[in-house]
Amino acid sequence: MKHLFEIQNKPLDIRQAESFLYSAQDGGVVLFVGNIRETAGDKKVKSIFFEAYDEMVIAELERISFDLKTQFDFSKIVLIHRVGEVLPGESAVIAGVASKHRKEAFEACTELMNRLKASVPIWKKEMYEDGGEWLSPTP
Amino acid sequence: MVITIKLFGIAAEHAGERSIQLEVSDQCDLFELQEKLKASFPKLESIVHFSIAINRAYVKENRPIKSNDEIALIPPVSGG
Repeated sequence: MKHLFEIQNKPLDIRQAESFLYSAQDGGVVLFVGNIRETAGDKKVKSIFFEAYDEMVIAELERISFDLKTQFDFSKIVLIHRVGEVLPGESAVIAGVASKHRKEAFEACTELMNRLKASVPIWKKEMYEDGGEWLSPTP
Repeated sequence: MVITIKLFGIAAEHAGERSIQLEVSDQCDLFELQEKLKASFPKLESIVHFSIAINRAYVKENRPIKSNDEIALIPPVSGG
């Protein structure tokens, strides 16, 4: 299993994930891109500020990927997360999995995102015109 | 001994620091550390929901703390 885990403080480029995941041995590549919405309930979102415990993010993603590998048969896994201020319409996260067949790639990518939200030490503060708020975990 | 604890997110904002130092006993364990942290962060009523990471991994079972451990207070995560 090959992996690519990165924290970036610049706009994410999906081509980085594609070029890592694509190969002649895998027929299925699933990519998920999480973008910033311009509204949250009835509030207008100015930006979202992301903060990460970088070193532990990588360590936790490695633990998660080894765990996922025991459940799903995939060959490559990628998770790239942005930190700093991210504007509506921009991407905050790219998750992807490559496998021989699509079912495993879909399932592993879904579980990767579930596990990211459950335990990987990244935090978001939603910024509005009149202040900001650290958010609780979202499903 | 004195230990350094990394702070993130809402914990760093409340403390006004990226890390704090705490005086603990030489036989300090995870439970003692959690009690000292609660006393140090009276504003954070939700600290019971915070996790502790030692050397970049979550710890839940009680264990001794060493002075050179990398310790972090982990508020509920919200990545993605």
